Amino acid sequence: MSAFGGSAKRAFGGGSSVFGSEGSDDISVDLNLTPLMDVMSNILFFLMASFGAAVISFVAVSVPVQSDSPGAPPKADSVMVNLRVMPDEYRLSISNELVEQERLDAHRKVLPKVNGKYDNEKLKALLYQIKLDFPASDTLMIVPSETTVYEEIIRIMDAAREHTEGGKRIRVLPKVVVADLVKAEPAE
Amino acid sequence: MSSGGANEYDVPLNLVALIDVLTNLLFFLMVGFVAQEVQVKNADRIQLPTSSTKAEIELSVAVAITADEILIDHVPVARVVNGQIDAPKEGEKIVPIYDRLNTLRAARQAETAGLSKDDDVVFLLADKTAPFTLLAPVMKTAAMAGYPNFRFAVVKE
Repeated sequence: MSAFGGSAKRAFGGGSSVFGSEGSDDISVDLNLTPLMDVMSNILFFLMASFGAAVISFVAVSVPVQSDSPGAPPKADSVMVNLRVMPDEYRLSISNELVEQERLDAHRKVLPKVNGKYDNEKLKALLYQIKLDFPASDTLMIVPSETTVYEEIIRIMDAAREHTEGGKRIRVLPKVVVADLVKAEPAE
Repeated sequence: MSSGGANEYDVPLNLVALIDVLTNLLFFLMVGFVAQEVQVKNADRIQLPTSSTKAEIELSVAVAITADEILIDHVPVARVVNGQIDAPKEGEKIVPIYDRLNTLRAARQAETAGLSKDDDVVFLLADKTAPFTLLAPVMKTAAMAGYPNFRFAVVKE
């Protein structure tokens, strides 16, 4: 009898063995694989458990870089979305020189904090509305304040990335640029 | 193949195929685990924010901002004192960070014989409470060193 389905036989020269029974010249080796299975199953379980517990991922960001080459010409159905993160509110605005000021002003909003937290749900809805009005838009410029922390920037990017409607995921503003306002130094 | 008395059955199970499957699973899980460990070696001192992103991790130069130091590919390059970077500066450029990133960039370009996809990307690990005043100088210096693109490390929700 063998765990391998057939008999694994090797000539050991006869005699009895702890590994199995034997004929005059052959030994039928039965490997007990149960402890090996136990160990492997345990390792597998713990690896899978820890894998699901904390899987590191990333969100892509860039910073503005000065370039001498002329940029792509602006499109009428695309705007640059700007979000200033103030200590107690978001200030949302859009810009495009080809679009009438009235249309741009319609999307200029201030979102105060609600119960001490930034209103990311409202922000998400407003960004989606901008995407509907200017479908070619894909970039959000975030200008954090000195008090903005890393987690708040991630929350904004989560709100801007996609919108789910009827089980369908729609990309809103997947490109994010984090900019820093240059402080004006008082003239001496 | 079975033997036994009238009421006994000795049923041999063929476990080889199962062990093959388990070994393969184990191998790929362990490889994936090692790949992640390379990236997040310093994450024990950093509490990353969570995110709904589904992006799979990709290798690039890792910059970790902890509460007391800044590390580039696990090598400390600058200290953080009272939430500020304590290192020599030239304008907005933090010299040791700039130099280290430049060295790494040159080494990677030599390895790949030119610019490759991730040669201008920094994988940034920072604590979720890290203020922008700490992130901004590191990001600006990285951009000056030729790394204008970042991957902000997060934990998948």
